[in-house]
Amino acid sequence: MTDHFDEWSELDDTLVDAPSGPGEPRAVSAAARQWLAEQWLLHGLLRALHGADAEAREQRVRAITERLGPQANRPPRWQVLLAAAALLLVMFVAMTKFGAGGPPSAEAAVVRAGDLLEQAVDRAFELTIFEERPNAERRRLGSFELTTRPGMKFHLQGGLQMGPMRIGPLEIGCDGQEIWVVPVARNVPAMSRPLTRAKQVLANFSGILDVGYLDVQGLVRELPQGFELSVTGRERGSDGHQLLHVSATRLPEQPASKFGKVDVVSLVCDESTGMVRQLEVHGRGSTGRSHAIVIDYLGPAELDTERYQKPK
Amino acid sequence: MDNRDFFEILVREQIDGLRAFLLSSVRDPVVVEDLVQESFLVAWRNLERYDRQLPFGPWLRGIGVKLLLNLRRKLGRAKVHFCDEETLVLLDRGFEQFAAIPGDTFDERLDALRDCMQVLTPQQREAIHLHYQHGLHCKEIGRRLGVHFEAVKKHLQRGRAALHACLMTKARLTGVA
Repeated sequence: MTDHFDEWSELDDTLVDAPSGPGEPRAVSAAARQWLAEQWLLHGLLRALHGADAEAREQRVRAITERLGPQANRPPRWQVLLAAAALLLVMFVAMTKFGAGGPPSAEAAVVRAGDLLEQAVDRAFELTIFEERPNAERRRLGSFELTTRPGMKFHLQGGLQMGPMRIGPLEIGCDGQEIWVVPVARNVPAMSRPLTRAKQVLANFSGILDVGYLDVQGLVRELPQGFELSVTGRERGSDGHQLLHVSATRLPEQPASKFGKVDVVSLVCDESTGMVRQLEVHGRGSTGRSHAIVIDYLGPAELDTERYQKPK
Repeated sequence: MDNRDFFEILVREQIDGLRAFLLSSVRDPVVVEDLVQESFLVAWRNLERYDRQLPFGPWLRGIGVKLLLNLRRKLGRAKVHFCDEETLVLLDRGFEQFAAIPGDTFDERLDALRDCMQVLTPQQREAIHLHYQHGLHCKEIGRRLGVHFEAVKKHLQRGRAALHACLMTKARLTGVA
């Protein structure tokens, strides 16, 4: 492709103190206009990137919300807005259930997080496992890097220390059909089974590892149906985002098997983005001991599809 | 949750993208802040006119474009870069494609841009750093680097072109058009 930088450079006046380009938009070729738009796009993104400031952002938001007067027209037809995006759909659920003017609902926050987790994006989490003792003490058993994708795809890498016994380091994966374990050390047998027989694979981990919470998307999606949800707190995070704390307790009539070993889930939901920032899952392993699994959301990730499949 | 709470969520979701869009085409950062505020206030007053076929972000940018063109007519080009509606349409399309980059927030999508800095030559990276981080103009950068003003301009423009190509690759797209 011919390099037109010298020819088009003068059209771009983003880099000079004052306008120096053509006085008024003149006839330029489609290619030049395209180049100019690309230059502008990056100019704006680079200005935004280098001017990012959480406090200034909050001030901007406040400046807008404090100036919101009454709407001139009749109340907006929220259904029209809601059809535009999944987020809006979630809010509609909250409004129809609790009525306009009610507090942010636990259910709305969880449904919204579930919708975001359903997007076809790989997401990275840090998963830390604790043993909970009767005296309310916690003992850290290990941690894993967890990457998930909707469709029951997950990839787990890490290890557990259970008393004197070290399990791992190892990799566990699931491609939606087959679940597999590959030891990095030799203290865990390599194994793979159809997903329907996941328990056979995970039995080596005293029931601590459970597809009930490794499928983060599935767990969050199921919470509104099988758990009683309630808001337990609200705070402003260090980045200025409003955070909603939600507790989910499994309903008595719901069999434990439906959600693996999960009894209670505590969630921290970011009201700005809708994403769940942390899940703390409480349940019992096959030995009857209580465990807490803390799952911190790290952000979107890029993982090759092959990583979810059993290594060849 | 009342309408105001709901609208605040929309403000929080869209404010960074709208601001970046206006930073692309408006020279004066104070004017950008005014336009961001005004765009949201107009959107608030006219929510009923929102077209169900369009997502909220582009509709909001459309309001921003109208306010921007009004400003240009009022102030001339002093505070606005060379802008006409055709180029603004292409710019809007570019932001639409940027929104396709994985990420829950605008800032998370900017991570892709942070990654793309690696594709720049050392001269391009230095020029971009001095211009956007320190706010130096091309002539000052030229004096610091010992090169001509035009060479700095080329580093910046070629650097931005390289970043654009990298971003579009990340968005699995071939270009703005």
